[in-house]
Amino acid sequence: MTDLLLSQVKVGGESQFGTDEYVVNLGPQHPATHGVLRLIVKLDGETVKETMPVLGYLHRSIEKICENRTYPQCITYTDRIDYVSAMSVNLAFALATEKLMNIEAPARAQWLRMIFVELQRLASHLLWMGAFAGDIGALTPFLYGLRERERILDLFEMTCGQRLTYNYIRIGGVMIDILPEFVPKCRAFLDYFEPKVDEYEDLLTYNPIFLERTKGVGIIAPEVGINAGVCGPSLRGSGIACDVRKQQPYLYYDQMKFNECIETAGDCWSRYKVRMNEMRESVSIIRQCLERLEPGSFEAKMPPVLKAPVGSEIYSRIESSRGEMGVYLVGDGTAKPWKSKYRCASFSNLYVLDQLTKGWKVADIMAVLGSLDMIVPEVDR
Amino acid sequence: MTNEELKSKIEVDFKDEILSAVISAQKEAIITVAPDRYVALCQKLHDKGEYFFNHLSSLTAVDYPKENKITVVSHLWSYKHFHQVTIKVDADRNNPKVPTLENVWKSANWFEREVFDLYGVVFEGHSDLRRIMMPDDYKKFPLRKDFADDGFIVKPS
Repeated sequence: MTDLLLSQVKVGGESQFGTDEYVVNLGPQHPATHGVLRLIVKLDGETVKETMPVLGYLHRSIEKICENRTYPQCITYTDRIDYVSAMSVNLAFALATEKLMNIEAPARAQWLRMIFVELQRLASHLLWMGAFAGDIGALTPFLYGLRERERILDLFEMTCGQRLTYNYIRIGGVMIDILPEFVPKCRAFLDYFEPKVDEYEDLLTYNPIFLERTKGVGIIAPEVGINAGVCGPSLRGSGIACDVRKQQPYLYYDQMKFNECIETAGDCWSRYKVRMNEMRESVSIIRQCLERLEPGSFEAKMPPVLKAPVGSEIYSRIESSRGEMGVYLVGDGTAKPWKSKYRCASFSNLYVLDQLTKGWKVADIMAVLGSLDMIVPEVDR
Repeated sequence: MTNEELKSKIEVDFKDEILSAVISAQKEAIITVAPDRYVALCQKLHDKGEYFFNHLSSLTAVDYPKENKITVVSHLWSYKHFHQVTIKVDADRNNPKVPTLENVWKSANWFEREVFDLYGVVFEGHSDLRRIMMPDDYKKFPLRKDFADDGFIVKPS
């Protein structure tokens, strides 16, 4: 190695140790890209000059498949759009279809949906926290995060029998009512979980190494962020209020007392902090929902075959764990959607990656990518 | 502003530029515009204080083979006023061309690449119009309704 380096030194030459630009391929099989994402990175020494994401390695044409399936069948596919936060996508599709067909889900179903979507947000943020910390070299939080996520998945499994792709939130309600022991178990979990968030923060938030890797890195300026379509916690880290739960309330979020978590610095650390605070807010929302959960039916009365009127269309948005999740449906009078479009937060968030990493080092790409909470099946669909 | 107020306001303010403004059965404000007025309208909706649609929430297309058109649909949202509007622009299905919104919202870049990839709509003025999901040498446009599904099955050679 020393010989090699020495051989490059031109003795007596003018430009010693001149750097060359070169291109490195990260992925599509790379442990830190959270799936099959490929990044082509142009480097000058260790400094990033350009990052070009190459998408499509996980493109399963879900939008085309949904055009050939009935509305209830589509829900199964929505699970696969974001497998870390499947409940949110289920909900986004179910709400869009209900608006399209004027179906009103009963109150109990709405409360159950809120409980499960917020539990899902906790599970998703926990996995994100572990993976993000792991990306920048802290491996312990991953074990902590998965330990608590396991208990959330147990609650899901108890209710719908699945641990990853639930297919639980259906058009007009939910798949099945909760068991009587769900509510006490969920309360017990929340009591157990709430102090754990402080524990993670003790471990990470002001850890000098963690601060060094995240503070001031990959700053999204507010105006740039809005214009480039960044959404969800990533944009809230830049000080913009953009929570769909507050701005365009769905379910019963308008009756809930919760704060929109906002940080102003716009760097990786702020995005991290927003998500940590969101976990506390989610716990508070679930508690309020459990208080107000009322007995009743868990599904609406619906016709045996669901058909959307000719020419009807709807664009319905929710706040999923990763940010704004929109579903655009066009009905044509049959039982299948004429057009289905899933607007996913990861897709629009990934667009700014090039701007965020320009001028930083190779290792910072992983910190920035991790802080955007990107998940590849949502990008490619 | 409610969607009804928004629709009437746009109808008055931009009566020369839009083709139609309707409230859909689902209570959404839907504006249809001609391709040559499309970018100018969006720029005004983005800049003007009372509209301030600073967020391009989604941009996609819908294929209507019977009417021989592909409609590019964009959904705008205002983080300031909390209102939503749908903008539609029709393109000829045989030679679909629509001007790009990239200079209004940067986020349109990838959305339009996706529509180009899956529907074959050419966005004029786009800075980087390449396929995004499908391989670069792919010839077809999968989300068009007449897409033949022979590509789904790979026959053993």
